[in-house]
Amino acid sequence: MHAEPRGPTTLRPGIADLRSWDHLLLGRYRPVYHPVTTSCAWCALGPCELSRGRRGPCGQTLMLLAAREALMLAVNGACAHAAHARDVVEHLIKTFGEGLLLDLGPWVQIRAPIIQLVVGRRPGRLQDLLPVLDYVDTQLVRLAAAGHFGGESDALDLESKTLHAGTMDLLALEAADLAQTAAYQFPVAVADTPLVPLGLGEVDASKPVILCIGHHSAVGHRIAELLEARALSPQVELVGLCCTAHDMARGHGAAVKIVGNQRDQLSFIRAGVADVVVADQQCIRLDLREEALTTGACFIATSEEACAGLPDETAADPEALACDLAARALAGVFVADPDRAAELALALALRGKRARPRQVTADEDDAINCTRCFACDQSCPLQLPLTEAVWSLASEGRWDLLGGVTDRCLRCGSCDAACRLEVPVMALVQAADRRPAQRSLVRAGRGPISDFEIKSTGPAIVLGDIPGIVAFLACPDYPDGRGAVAWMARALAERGYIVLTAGCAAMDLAWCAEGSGAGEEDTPANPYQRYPAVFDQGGLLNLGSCVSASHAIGAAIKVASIFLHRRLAGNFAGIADYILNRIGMVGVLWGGVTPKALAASAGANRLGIPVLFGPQGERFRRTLEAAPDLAWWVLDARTGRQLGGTPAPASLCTTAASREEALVQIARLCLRPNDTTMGRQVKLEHYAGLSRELLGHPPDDLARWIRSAYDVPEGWSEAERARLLGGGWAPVPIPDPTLLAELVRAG
Amino acid sequence: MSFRDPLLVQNVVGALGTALPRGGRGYKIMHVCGSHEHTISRWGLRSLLPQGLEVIAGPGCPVCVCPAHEVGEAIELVRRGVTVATFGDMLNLPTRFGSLAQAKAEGGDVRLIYSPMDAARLAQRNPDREVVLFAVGFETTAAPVAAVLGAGELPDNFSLLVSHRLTPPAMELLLGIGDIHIDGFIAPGHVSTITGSDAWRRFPEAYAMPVVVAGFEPEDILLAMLLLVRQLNRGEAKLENEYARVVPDAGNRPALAAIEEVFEVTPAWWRGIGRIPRSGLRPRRELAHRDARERFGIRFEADLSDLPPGCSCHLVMLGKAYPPACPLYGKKCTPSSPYGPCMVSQEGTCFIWFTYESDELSATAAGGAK
Amino acid sequence: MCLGVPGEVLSIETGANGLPMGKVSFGGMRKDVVLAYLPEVEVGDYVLVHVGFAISRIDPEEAERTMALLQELGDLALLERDLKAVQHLEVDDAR
Repeated sequence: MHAEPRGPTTLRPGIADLRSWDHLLLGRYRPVYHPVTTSCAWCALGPCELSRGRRGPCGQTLMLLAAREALMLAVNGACAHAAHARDVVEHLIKTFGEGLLLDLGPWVQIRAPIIQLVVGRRPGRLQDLLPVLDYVDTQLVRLAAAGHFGGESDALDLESKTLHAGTMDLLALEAADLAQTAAYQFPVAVADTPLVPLGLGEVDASKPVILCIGHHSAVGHRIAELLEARALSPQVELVGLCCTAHDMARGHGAAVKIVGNQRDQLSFIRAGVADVVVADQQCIRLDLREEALTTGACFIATSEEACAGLPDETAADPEALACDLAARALAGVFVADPDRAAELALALALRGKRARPRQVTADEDDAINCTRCFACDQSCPLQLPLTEAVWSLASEGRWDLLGGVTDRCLRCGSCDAACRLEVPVMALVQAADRRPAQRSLVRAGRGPISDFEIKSTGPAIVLGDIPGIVAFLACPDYPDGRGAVAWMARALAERGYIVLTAGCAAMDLAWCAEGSGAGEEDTPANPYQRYPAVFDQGGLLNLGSCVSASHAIGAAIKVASIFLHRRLAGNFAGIADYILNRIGMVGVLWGGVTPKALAASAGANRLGIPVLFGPQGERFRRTLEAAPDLAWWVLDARTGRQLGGTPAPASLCTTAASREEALVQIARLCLRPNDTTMGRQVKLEHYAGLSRELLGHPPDDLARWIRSAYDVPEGWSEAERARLLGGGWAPVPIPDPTLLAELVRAG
Repeated sequence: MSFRDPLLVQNVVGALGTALPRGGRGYKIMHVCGSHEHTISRWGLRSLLPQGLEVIAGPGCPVCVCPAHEVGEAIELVRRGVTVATFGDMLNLPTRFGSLAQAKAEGGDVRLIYSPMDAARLAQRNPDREVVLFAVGFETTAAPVAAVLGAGELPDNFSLLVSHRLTPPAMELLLGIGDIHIDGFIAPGHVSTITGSDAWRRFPEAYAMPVVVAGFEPEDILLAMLLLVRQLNRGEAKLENEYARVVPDAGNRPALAAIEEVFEVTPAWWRGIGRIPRSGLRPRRELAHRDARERFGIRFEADLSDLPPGCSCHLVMLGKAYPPACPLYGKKCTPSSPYGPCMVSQEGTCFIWFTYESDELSATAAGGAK
Repeated sequence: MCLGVPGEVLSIETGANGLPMGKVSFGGMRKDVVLAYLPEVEVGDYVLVHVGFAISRIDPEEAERTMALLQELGDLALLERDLKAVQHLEVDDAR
């Protein structure tokens, strides 16, 4: 492994080593707390009421509580990714040997930008990833310790540690994807990865169906290999849900079908299509085993993280076990060995179909028992008006109100569980879905952005011809319907932004946004077919599974590195400063709800990349907003002068209430202090254009973004120009921006 | 009258010595013109500058920034039996496709010309051959090429392989990338005769970056530096035209009109730097038959091996390093056997340094850059 | 490609290609130069020539002005030297 000459930041920083950078960042983007509870129950003295400025017996305040909870959530999320990464790496070492070269081909020389930046090494072989993961593990233990009773007592230091958890999260993501991409030889930086069938409607339910759900695709890969090796592919349908599906598709293309993402779990299981369910870790419904078994499917748990209360049959012979299980009504086991689990799944599937649908269809008669008690409304995480919808069906035979909620419904089934009269609310909502059977296509993940693409597009990004890079990531729990991210992504790609995606969000991009129509003639409506998967203006790229989100961050680091001609190792603050001030990238976690989403967002934030959540993002306890009372400044690296201006990016971690507001925010969040005159013009065209189109009025802070007359977009009217440059407006020179005094040109 | 009078040079050098604040952090000026670098090196101007005043070359050599794949397109044309006419410096430019000199040695018809008119005349005199002008150069050359294309009675067998580049976007890119720490620009004198000094107005007005348009005699450069130093001392940022005897504010209107009529602006690849939007030219759609790429159906894609391994031209061209900082400079890479593009052209920084190299230059390099 | 060379316009005519041409003298050496971009050029003018095209006219008055500035700097230097010799006078920085 190659060690590099260092930059000024400590390599393998401890939990307080990047504190000065964190404080610099947090001084400008201050945490705004949104507690979800006013009482703390973290120790046995609690619950202690902390509202109205009260202090708990340990000195806890409401603000500190929120900060601590955010830390523990981020740590939890980072641990999930770290554990997953270790599973992946250790499994691949066992399968391919620790000396396997981490070769991503000649187009990607900077293979692990995040690892290079933080740890200071360039991993060359699988075994080189283990020390990285060891480092991550030790950091996470310390971070968790800092959140203990009587631990960190300062809110900003708690935030700094949350950001550190984020960095650990990103290291894990990168390590995991690098390992699997190299080992399984996933496509790397190619535009024409296969289009993979997506959706329940694509599954051939006449065949035995094996469903792999979770994140660790080892079992799924093995099953695919076995099917191919034994020429059994025509007999068995192999499908995936969530991240494991992405990774299976990257390895086997259209031989695998992707059912959907985390939101589709319950409805797919209840459809009784999957005969064998192979589950591993994370984001799996806690009642999935139960639901699967009651449809008659076999359930195989394969991760020690999620044993699901099942008997451990790892040692059993798969054939014999299959024989035994096939005879049982409730067939669930825990098999820790991926190869054995694969053999078992295949053996079970070959025995034929066994699952039956449950609560899938529903009609007017099913609503009869409704007593309008509002229990379903109260249980719905989105507070959809379910009661009125069901009641109107029961009493008047009307489906329209159910039709009005069907798109926003998360298919979580809480309503079913809440109903005391066993009205199948979720099935009724589903039945109101008038869309044809769900079939679409999603492009298999293409992994990292190549060094060549960065070089090719870097100048256009810096000059603003590409108005921004927007990454749609994380969970699919949108507040406003399944088509939300597709709608936003299309609008941005159409305008020449680069759109990146991965994980659950990537699947949702395949669904045409409502109201977009079927597309014009010759223009496909599916964004994956309409926009090329190139890292360039108007490109739309599926990076892969959630761990592939590291490539979005990696791209920003690479742009900085290629332009700065500076070593990555030990230059965390320098690179983060560069990204913050010069690279217009935004992460949109529109449906992000899991701790993993928070962890990844914190990691992005620390590197200067702002993140936009849906409204539920406030429930991560805090957002990071531009300090309103701060006279906003950047240092001009040329002259050392402090130059005032409008905060750019406008915030670091924030939420939007609606998709329209989100799009306008996204455009605004792409503005950076160093935008050239042309770049600022292009970005403002989009910001103002989107605001007018979607909110009905131009943005009211437009004049604050005009630094000189050259920033006013050329096509705008004289009247508009006069309005912007009039009043109290005064020009501000475009800086060579930095927050770091040490980067100001010394004498 | 002469702008090379040693007494006048002395005057300016003396004024610079007085003007530059002692003990301060010094100033770093960038120019973006190979001919400016030529004047500076030829007359050893760096050795005359007071301690702390630095002048470095930016991407000012159109031959150096011509991407390998476009040379490849020209070589492909030669191989197809087309007569390719180009300016002298392009002949020896080394690329992964070889060089035009090699193509010529293999029997290809490559002609060196001084003026684009020569290429048109070549086409007239050889009606049985296809003649392509491989048009490299900044705005100064684009204007003459535009005139040729717009002239009446242009023979049918004539077309252009256009590789022109526009300077202002590259300068804005330098400022956008940052980390270059320039305090002021010397604007290219002859590009400015076409574009006008007004083309640089946005640098002082939007970026607070002082700019002085300078001529090509030693006094011109030194005077321009003095004007910049004075601006910087006063905390000013203005556009000044030291070369007013030749450079008009609004530029050469007929030349600009001709360029506009015949060419459209496109993104373009700059060797060693990347693809810069709005920085290249190509014949307009109506003139597609004069666009050799359309006419012959040739379009090579840029790729990774833009510069040979170990070459530091990308650093030299962006003003991040002086030529001696390159480990190959003067050893593996010399004008007689150039390894990278900067050593090939008369306007290439490395070529110029090597030609006029002296101990003083090496001393400047050791103390400067980054 | 920035190399522009000054020369004196000796005569002007219309070339075979329809473009205005001129005979320009570069220190005695004569060449045919395209004058299309300098529609107002006259015989006796000095022009800057690049790849066989006249791209700008050299303005003698501007040249004088620049020359004068350069000379002035020398005068100023002399003045400064003299001023420094007078002990209790303060020396301002040059304009």
